[in-house]
Amino acid sequence: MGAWAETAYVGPDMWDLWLTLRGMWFRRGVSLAVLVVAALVVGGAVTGPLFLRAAGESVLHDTLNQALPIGRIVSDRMSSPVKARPLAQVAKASRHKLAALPTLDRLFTPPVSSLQVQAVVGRPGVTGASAVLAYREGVCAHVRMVSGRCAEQPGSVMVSAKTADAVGWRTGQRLLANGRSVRVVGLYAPVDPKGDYWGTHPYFAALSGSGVAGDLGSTVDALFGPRATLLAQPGYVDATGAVDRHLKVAQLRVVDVPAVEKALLDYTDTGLGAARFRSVGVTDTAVGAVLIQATGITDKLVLPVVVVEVQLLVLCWLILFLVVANAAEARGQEVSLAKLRGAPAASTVAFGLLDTLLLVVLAVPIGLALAWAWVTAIAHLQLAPGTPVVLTPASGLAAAGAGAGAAVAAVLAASRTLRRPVLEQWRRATRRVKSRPWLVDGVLVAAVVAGLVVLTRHGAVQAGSTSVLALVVPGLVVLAAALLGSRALPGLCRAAFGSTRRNARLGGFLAVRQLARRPTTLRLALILTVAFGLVAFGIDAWSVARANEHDRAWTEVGAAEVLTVASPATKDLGKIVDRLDHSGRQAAAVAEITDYSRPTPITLLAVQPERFARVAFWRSDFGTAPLPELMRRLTQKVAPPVALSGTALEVRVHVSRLSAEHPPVLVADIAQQGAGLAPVTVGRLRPGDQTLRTSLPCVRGTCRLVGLHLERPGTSFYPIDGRLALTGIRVRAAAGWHDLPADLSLPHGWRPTGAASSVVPPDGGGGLVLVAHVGSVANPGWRVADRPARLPALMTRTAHSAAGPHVGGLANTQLDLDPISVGPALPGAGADAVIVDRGYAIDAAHGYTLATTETVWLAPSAVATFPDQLRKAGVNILAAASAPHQTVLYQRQGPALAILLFLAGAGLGALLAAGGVVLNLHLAGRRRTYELAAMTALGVGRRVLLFSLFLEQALLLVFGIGVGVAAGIGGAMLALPAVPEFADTPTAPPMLYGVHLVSVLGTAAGAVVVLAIVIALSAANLLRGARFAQLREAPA
Amino acid sequence: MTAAVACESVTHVYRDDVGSEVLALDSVDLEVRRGEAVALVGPSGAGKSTLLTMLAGLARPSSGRIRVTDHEVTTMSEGALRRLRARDIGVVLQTPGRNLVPYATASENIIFAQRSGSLSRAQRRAEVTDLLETVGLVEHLHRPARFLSGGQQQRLAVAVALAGRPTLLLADEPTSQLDRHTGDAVVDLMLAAREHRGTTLVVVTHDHHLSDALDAAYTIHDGTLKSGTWLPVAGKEEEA
Repeated sequence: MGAWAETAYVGPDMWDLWLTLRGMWFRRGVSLAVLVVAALVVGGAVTGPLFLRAAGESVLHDTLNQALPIGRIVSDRMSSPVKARPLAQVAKASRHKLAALPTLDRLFTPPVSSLQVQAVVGRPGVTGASAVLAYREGVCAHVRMVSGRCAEQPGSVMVSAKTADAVGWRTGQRLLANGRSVRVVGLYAPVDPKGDYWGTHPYFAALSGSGVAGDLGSTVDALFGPRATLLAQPGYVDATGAVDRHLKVAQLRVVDVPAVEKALLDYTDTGLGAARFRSVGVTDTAVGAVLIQATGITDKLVLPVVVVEVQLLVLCWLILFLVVANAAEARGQEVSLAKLRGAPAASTVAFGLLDTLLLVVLAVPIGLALAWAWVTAIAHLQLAPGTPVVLTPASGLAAAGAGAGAAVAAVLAASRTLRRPVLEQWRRATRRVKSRPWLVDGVLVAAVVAGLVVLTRHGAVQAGSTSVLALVVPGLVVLAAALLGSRALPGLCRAAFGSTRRNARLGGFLAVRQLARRPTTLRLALILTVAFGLVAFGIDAWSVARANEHDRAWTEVGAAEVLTVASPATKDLGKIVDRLDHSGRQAAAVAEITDYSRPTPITLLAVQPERFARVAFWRSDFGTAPLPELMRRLTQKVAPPVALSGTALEVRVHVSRLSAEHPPVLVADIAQQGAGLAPVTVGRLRPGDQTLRTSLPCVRGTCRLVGLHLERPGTSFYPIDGRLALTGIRVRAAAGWHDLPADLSLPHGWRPTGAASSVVPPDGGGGLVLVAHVGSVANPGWRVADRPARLPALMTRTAHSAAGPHVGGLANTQLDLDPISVGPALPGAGADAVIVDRGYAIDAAHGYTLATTETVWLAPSAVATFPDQLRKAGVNILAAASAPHQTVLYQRQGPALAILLFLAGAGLGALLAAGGVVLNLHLAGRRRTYELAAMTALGVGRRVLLFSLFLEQALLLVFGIGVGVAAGIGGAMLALPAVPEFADTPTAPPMLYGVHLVSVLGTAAGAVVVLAIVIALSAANLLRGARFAQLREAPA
Repeated sequence: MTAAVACESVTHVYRDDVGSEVLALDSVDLEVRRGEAVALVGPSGAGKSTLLTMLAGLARPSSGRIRVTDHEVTTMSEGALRRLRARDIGVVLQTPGRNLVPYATASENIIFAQRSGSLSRAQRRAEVTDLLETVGLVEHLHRPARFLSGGQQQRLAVAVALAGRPTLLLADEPTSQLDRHTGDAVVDLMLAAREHRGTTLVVVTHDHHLSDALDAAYTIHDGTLKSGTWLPVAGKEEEA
């Protein structure tokens, strides 16, 4: 009896639990598998709500961060004369309003107050410039002092270094602002001129400068001073007081949005107390609109996530059912023993079920933690930086629901074992159940066909219901393929019976028979097919979406990075880029202008062809040839430009024929950089030889001779008919007169500007012959053929159909185009664009390109360094657009996240399915080892048995994965064009839906190889466990 | 002395895998008195084990009546059968491992079988020790069943079957996988139970050494048992 003292005696009341725990430990491998699968089922269920919430937070933050500052700011403003103290009034009114809205008080920063007046500022005795004189709370922390100190003393101001450079002000200087004396105590440079701190106040006009289309430029940034400086302004001067509050974007959560939207409505609906404060105030904000936009995007994510989740959960549940069914089978012997011993029914049930239920209960928190870790990882990799992953009641409900689902699976799986009579358990012969599998197959196939018909008929990307169908149809397709395939597998195996019998190879003989006779095989094949079908679809959908996101971002931006710049006055950006990048591979200068004269605005990009070919993004369907080839064709062989560097121009001409009422006047068309076309009268033409001279207006540098034309003196109208030969052109420079070739001897150096004039190519003797034959109105003209008459152009189809061969040029003058390639999209301008040679376009604008936007396109290798080089060259960078950054933003949009979740879920499903196959081999181990031991006893070699085991599992794997991948690819080809990939509908480039076979097949091949290794090891392990001694035991 | 087991015209027909009807038992009449030890002998497939499982209430005959310890098992509910098994019937199966929970210790296996009785904790512990001493396994009190040898497992199986003091012990080929020495020990155990507890023994066996040790042997051939027929074991073997 002493032995009893060594161990606790567990009473009958705890006996079931005690033995259950002992059994769980005894079958710890199986228990662990059940725990893992159940945890993954719970995790899969929880992933949906967790991901949905995190994606919502990400979309919310992205939308807010990408909005203009007004989308993150609430600004209360009030205007009144300085003496009415508008800042004090607006601050009080704003405070009063906010006190009633604690939500806004919590989620918006403390106010930044400001006061500004429009002032005429200048040195005493000098005409001043119009500038903003401003006080802004905390400004000293947001500027870098280039010299001097921050203006904090009454009567002091600080001016921007740019302004000081342009206007000639300096530290210590006294200025007059609206007649009041102020002293410049420092020169500042804003740390982040586009930062939220500055609100929507246009303080930095000089910094922006010219260069952006529509901005005619200003040279004076705001002068900042303390409040006292502003209050010292004349009392009658109009001033604007403002209180800006910034939304704490990082602290805003999705759950806050409804309350914030309501509070904002209340805030903006409540006036700023005009009656009480004698002044009319306004509240400016677009926060509400941005929040509505973000909510709209997030809402679009809900349905796809739910659809994806349901598919994933059904798959996981099936796998769990398979695993727990195997686990229940493993406990069948103990269940029958309990029945044999007459154990109470509850105890028998506990034997068959309690351990699985305990594992399921344990799996709930583990699954929750796994899902949280998984979504946190996804959020870290894919969502907006800092996106929180929050456990919500919905995730708790999902965990509980999944746990309940897992428990149901356990009950269903165990019920057969529990209900099985003892004798059947001993014999391992379950009664056959009549079923109608083909009925299920038929219903499913009909559903697939119906879904496909609807999808192909109404497969619009933007329709929400269609997008759900598009995500459901692939699942249905693979499920149908899985059902049909799994039904066919036993038949295929039976068909192989004969051949395996004939070729006398025992391994194959055994393998096909094992596959054909076991019902588990059918279930495993089905699950593998579904899982890998969804994986194939998921990988292809993800690859397609990634490629389209990349292409759209790069097409819209145009290159790795595109800088909007303002180059120094009188300096050509193209030459600056040429000087900074000798390789020609890092950057390209591109001038851009949009022609708004048509219903469809068309953007003209004037590019440096060779550089552009190396820097810009290009897709083969954009044009009829590779970009370098097209760029070569953009530039044609033309006559060299005729530069005029001097003070006077001389034209020698022989007029052999002239018929006109009065002698016409020869006029030189001269273009000057930044100044446009200037007609310069050279002199009257008379028959015979003559030398005509005129002074040149080229005060700012080199001019260019564009051409010559004849004008009638005065306002008279008469026909002109003449023939004149240009025999020489000279320019007077500092060293005296010198000849200019002026392309006079080139065969195609000059061309007529209209049909009524012509050029006779020079024959080597008498100069360039120009012929005029015009009516009473037109002026005959000839121009240097230094650019093609019609500019070779790359055009998009919409631009071509909308504009034909004409488009507004850089100076909004008409450009005649020669389309050399027409495609669906062009980099940097999307679907409505034209690309021409920058030099030609500038020539066509005669150097007058003020209304254009100058940009520098950068190659990936130049992104880090080239902006600094540009700044050092005096180029002001106004904005930057990054294609990789834009790509990331597209990848964080709702539809892209839904596809990502689909892939992640399918991957998890495939992992579970593959694990299920291996686990099945393991769980079936005892039964199989008995058989193996028996066959070993019969003299079958272990190598043959190993091969048979491996072949059996490998055939199952290859069949399941193969059918699944084929079905997945089929589903992708059918459904992907209807799967939304963006929150909006992109106009360019065309979305490509080709199957990404390398990704799909590579993944499938990788999975097959890994699984083949695992099943080989598992089979070897199984064979090691097959011993003769087992033959003394009953087969399990 | 009343009958512990009484079968009247028990017939059992079942369908095999190909759907053909097989007559497993054909109008079997059998009576085993309380405290009697009888053997059921016959060739493989004769219906011996089928009859045994019906006596244990694990299967019901197609027709006929079976009474076990004054209970009509052919008409009892599953719950009543379960309670009957727990209270009155011990079963020893041919395969040692099948009689035991493999991960439970020797003592735990006995407790597993005795728990449906109304014994106190001390009585249970005493019975466990007593049974293990009886089968010579007291030193293996805490040893999991799967670590015991085949003979030890079968002795333990007898101890488990006797736990709860059943009035009827049904044994299906209890010595077929044991050597003579161990088989004898198992037979001695069962006979000792009959001796000390008055347990009725019904043993299916091919082992004439075992059947010789019992009070009577009944031959079953093609599902037919000649009621009360006593045949020498040697003669039965010749028949088989």
